[in-house]
Formats: sequence, structure tokens, C-alpha cells
Amino acid sequence: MLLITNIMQEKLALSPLEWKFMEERKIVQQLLSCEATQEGYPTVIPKTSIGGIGKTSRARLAYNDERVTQHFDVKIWVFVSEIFYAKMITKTVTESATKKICKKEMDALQSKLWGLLHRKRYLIVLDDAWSKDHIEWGKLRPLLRGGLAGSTLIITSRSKKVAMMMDSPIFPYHLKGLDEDDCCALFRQRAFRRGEEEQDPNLLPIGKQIARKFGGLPLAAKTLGSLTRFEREDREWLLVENSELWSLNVNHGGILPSLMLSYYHLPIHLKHCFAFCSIFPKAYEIKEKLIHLWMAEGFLQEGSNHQKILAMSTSRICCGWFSFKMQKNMMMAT
Amino acid sequence: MVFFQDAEKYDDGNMNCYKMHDIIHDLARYVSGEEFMIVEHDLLPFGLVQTCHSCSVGEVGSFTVPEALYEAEQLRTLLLVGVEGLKDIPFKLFSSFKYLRVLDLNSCGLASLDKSL
Repeated sequence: MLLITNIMQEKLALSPLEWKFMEERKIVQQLLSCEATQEGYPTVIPKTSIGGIGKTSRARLAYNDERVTQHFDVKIWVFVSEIFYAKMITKTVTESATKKICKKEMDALQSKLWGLLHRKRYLIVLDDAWSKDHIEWGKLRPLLRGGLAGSTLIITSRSKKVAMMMDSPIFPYHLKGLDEDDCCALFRQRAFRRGEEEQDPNLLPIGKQIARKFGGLPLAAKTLGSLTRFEREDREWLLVENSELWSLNVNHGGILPSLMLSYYHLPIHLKHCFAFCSIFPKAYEIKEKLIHLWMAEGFLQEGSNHQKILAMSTSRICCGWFSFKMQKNMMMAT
Repeated sequence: MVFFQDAEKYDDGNMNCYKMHDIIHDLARYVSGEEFMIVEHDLLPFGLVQTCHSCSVGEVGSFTVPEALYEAEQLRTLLLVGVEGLKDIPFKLFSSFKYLRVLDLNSCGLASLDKSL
């Protein structure tokens, strides 16, 4: 009975969003209480989920928690992605900690890293790891020795096997998606401007049906919400709801049906603009020159007010894909 | 938040820098097929280069442009993203790609360009 009361109280004290991230609270607690491990290795916390659940966002919450920041001497976040070499990780870790470009020789990098981590309590996040290369993981392991007790390594990955590459005794946290109501709330937030739900009463029931197909993925809810924001006709929403793409779960090289659907709804020249973005490596910092590259490729129609086309194209892509909105004819972050 | 993460803003609120969400990047890569590509030395698919219109050479720590890439005669955009320490621009770049419109050498670490350019 006492237990139930406590849980209820705790639940009341938390905002809905915080309640969702209870798992992160657990991880924060775990980060703060990590004890010494064998031979000076860090404690490894593996976290897995399918893509689009929000692994990175949730790990960020724990990483940015004030108590966590105070607890650790050094905090380093590394976006890993598909290419994985111990040397590259060492270089990135060292550079993000020192904020300087480092030499490429492994010996120099190793001693620099040792200097950074030795006798410090550190937290390193290896975000979105893909590699199952035992040799490279094996090279990385000894480099992370030498920190104080409580030092921790978080590995996020879509694959359980990858998350376990550092031989952690801790079983991976498998993150779950949002429930249907939350998914729908997220979708509505994107799909309707303030007061629009009342203006178009037919759309909401269709929207609820669409939201059921998201499988709890926040990314799907946000993307399709942004897409339907431009459509005010029942017909368009029904097309989304009844699309055949929803049943093509396994095809499309593992791409989520909701994202595929959003892509198909883009006008043809924006499809080109979007596909063109695949020439940038993952996590590449895309700057304003992207628009110039689109122009050079001839994706933006000519003959009319160029500035307007640019603003329209980018804002349309941005709303559907880049999640931006047009305001005073300029791109602004949402 | 959907497409880009870690976007930076200018002081006036305009966007400066975007990053794609990795799953959206997967989608872009999937739908672009053979037209837009990231090229790596060992992974250049045979026969695909003919259809490639735009690409970036994205291998960290390489010093050359992959030889097989020169077969992509239709190339319009070439970004040398991961080719650090390229000593000179290979002349073949200009003789091979008749339709080249954009060549980005920003991250190659070149100290100077040949006078003929």
C-alpha cells in the first residue's frame, strides 16, 4: 500500500513529459551511483531501440541533467554512426574534449586521451553505433582505462549485439515507443495551427486513425504531422490514412512506412531536393550553401521570382522534412 | 526537430547550420538510388557510377580521389568531403567531367590553387 502511495505521489509531481522519461531518471540515478569496476574500466550502459523512438533525445536528457553535469569531471558526446575505427573515435573524443584539432598519429592521440581521462570521473556517450567489428572495439577498450571510479560509457544503438560489444554485464535498456494517445497528441501539435482543430472538425477523427499507425514512434508522428499541416481537405488526409504504403512494413530497405509516405507526398522538384541531401555524410553540418547546390543542379524552377521560390521550396521541405516554418519570408527554427 | 538536430542560429534568428536526423538520411539515401551517392574507396559499386549525377567522396583520412569515379562522366556536383590532405587537384578532375557544375574543395586542406584555375 505504501509503495502504491509513493508511486502515485511521484507521478503527480511529474509533468507528463517527465513521466515519459522515467527510464531516463533511472539512468541518471545509475550514472550518479556507478561504483568502481574491475581494473579501472568504465561502467558500460548499453541502450537500444529501433530507429525513430528517440534514443538520442532521451540519452541527451540524461546527459544534460544538471546533477550529471556536476557529478562528472569530463563529459564527451560522440556521434559514431556507421564507420567505426578506434583511432577515429579516439580522435573525436579528444577533439571534442579539448575543442582543438588533434594530430592524426595514434600514439599522440592515445597519450592525449590518457591525459584527459586519467584520474578524472568521466562520462562518454557513443551515440548511434553500428559496428560489430570486435577488433576495433577491442582496441578502444584499453584506451578508456585510467578514469576514476564511477566513470561511465553509454552506448546507444539500434542493435542489441552492437550495444553489447564492450562486454558490459549490464543488460541493454530497450527503449519503448510512446502510447497511442501521446503519439496522437504529438501528431495534432504538428498538424494543426492554433484553433484549426475546431475549424476543420472532420480532420481530427481521420488524424486519430492515422496516428494509430505510427507504432509509437515520435519521429513518425512529427513527420506526418508536419506533412498534413499543408492539407486541409478531408480527401488528402484520407489518402494518407488509406495508403498502401502502411502495409509494406518489411520492404523499402527497412525504411519506416510513415517516412516513405511523407516522401511520396512531396512535389517532384522537392523530391529531387530531398534526395540530393543523401550526398552529405551522416551528421554532416549542412549550411546555406545547400540552396546554391540545388540551384546548380537545376532543381529550383526558373523564370519567376527566385527569392520567392527559394523561400517556398525550403519552407515546404523544411516543414515536411526539415521542420521549419516560414515566417516573414525567411526560414526560422521552430 | 524532425529533420535536423543541433541546428545553430544566427543572432537575428535565421538558420545557420542544419543536420539531418539519421533515419531521414537513411530515407534520402534509399530514394536517391544511384543518382546521388556518397563514394568511398573500397565501396565503389561497379557499373553504378555511370548513372551518378552528384556525389561526395566521404572517406575519412584518404588522400586521393577514387580512380573508378572518373567513369562517372555525367557528374554535375562533386564534394570532396573526407579527402583531407589532397596535395594537388588532379587534372583529370577537369578533363573527365564535362558537365561538372559544382566542385567543392573546401575540406581538402589545399594551401593554394593552380594558376591555370
